[in-house]
Amino acid sequence: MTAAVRTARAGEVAVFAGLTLLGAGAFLGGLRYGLFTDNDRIGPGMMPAVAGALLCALGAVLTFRCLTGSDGGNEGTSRDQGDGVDILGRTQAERIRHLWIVFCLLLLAILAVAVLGFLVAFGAFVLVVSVYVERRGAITSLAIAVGACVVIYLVFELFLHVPLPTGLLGV
Amino acid sequence: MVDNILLGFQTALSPENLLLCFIGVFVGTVIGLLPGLGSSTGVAVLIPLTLAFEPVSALIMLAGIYYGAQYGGTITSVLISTPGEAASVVTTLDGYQMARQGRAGPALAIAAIGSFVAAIISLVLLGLVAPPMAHFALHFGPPENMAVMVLGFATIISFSGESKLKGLTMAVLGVLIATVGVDPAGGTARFTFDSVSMLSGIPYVQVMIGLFAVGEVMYQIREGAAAPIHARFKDMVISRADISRSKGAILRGSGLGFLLGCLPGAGSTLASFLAYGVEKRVSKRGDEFGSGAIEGVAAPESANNAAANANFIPTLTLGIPGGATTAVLLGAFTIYGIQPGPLLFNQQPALVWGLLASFFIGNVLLLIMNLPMAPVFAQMLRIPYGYMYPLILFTSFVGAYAIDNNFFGVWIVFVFGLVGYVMKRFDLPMAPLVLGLVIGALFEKALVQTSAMGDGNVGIVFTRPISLTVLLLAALFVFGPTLVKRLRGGGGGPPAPGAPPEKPVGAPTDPEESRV
Repeated sequence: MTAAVRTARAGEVAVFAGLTLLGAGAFLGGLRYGLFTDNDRIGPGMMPAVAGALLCALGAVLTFRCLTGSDGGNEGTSRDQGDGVDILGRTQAERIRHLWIVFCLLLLAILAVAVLGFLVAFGAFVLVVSVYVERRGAITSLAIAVGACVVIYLVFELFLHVPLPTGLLGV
Repeated sequence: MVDNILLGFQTALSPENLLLCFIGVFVGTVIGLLPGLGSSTGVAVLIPLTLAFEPVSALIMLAGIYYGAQYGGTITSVLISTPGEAASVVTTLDGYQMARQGRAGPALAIAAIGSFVAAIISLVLLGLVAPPMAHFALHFGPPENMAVMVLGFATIISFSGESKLKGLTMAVLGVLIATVGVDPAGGTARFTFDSVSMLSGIPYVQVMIGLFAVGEVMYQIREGAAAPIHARFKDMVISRADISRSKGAILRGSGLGFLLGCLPGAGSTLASFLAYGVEKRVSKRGDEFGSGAIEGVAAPESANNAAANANFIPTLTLGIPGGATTAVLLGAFTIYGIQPGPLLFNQQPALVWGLLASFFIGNVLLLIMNLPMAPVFAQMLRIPYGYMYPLILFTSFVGAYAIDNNFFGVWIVFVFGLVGYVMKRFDLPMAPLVLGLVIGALFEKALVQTSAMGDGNVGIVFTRPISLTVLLLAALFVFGPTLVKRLRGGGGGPPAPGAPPEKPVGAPTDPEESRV
């Protein structure tokens, strides 16, 4: 078992254990809301409690099967097997780094909406991802980012009258 | 009836109505292309534009928007795995795989053809059986609705492949997410953490955008840049063999969709899921489902469209909306001073039959517009993914915001984008989660109402003939194939050692095999 597969396995266990805990929490929450009403009808806690208990049980089974390897011996998918490069020559480690960079940039763009406004924040996101992460030409990327902002503005603001947040800049 | 149909076509084919129908279909398609903006949002947003028209003209335009938006959602489901609404989720399973194999053109074409055939079938059925079906729908109380939801849950088995346990887990997670917000029994706020935005629950359209659009983008970034998809022109055009393969799926999907569409509340989503599940069961190529089977696009798309048409039966004859979009249209009826009900067919035949005829004309227009355009839309996949995905993310987040002009939706998309990525990373099927989320809320409502009807006893669901029949159907759906195998002496146990495991439907495929 390679290190990549071991990491994938650990991740899988963490996900299933998380689901088990989530189910347990929902079950307890459901009990707190009440399974039945005063006149013995279905109460607000019934569905969360039943769904929570089921999720807890299913999550526990999946975790157990994953830990004991009784889930058919899934040795990870093809992507975990090696360090193949894509057509741009990027290794898996680089790609994973890019993935988290894009996630962080996305989070930054969402947080920046309050200051820059929706169009500017996400226009900047498109530009930065294209130039910095994807290494595309700056001029082309700028043209695409500006073009996207204009189209979104025309469709959402002017045609559909959706008031996109403008931020402190008022844009 | 022939006179009524002629009257309907006379009304719908007037130059003004024809033009409005075309505008509706075109605008609807554009709206459907925007992630998050499905038919209900499209119709709701554009009602003000129709206030100056005659009621029949306005309704014809809104109906055009309805169909157009549905087809627009299909385009994004196939090309970039981003369903516009819950009913299109199933289309992504095989449609997107077909697109990755360079067969986006046939996928889009069969969706248009299937929708067209479904429209014709459902129009004929609407004319023939609308009043009796409306009476039948009146017999559907909470226990019957609950049984239909159980039937919907039974289809989960079709979306989970070998890992049924994972599919079931995801469906339960969906149901659990659906319990967030105010409960239907007594108005108790559940799992809202004192957030006002959470009171109305987790919006499933934003969840879908996060899971499918953002999750897929993140997964593709991890997989690495692939060569843009360059398919030969002949692969972009639908072949006779494709149509021949899809015939049965389209007919079965249309019938099933029509039946479910007649029931208030069941709607297009359940129809598309059920049609896919049934088709996977009855098709000779059931094992190809999830990896680009054209029947997997034809069946749900036909069902979706037939259900959309049939939704008008309870809407027009009972004044009970069949689904989200018809609920918005019902509001429009009130604005135009029209009173839906059993007498509407007699009192305003020109309006009713004109509207029904416009369904047919709208679908002809969609077919004319989209059959030649399918290969053109498919050319989008030639754009390098490095340019495409930032734009997909941009439009997804704007779309999520635009649904109800609420920034909460943007955060939902972000969080569920992360969830979607994790699910794809660990081969957890997404369709059951969406099914659980959509049906979970409806199931709980039906459960609470059934409990109230039975004075605490939900067992009445087994004592009513229709609900019992539907429950038996659900049991047959789940256990039928295994029982048949056992009876034939074929076992039905685990696969032989060394046999290749069945892949979960919608699970990521090996990039080497999926990219052309």
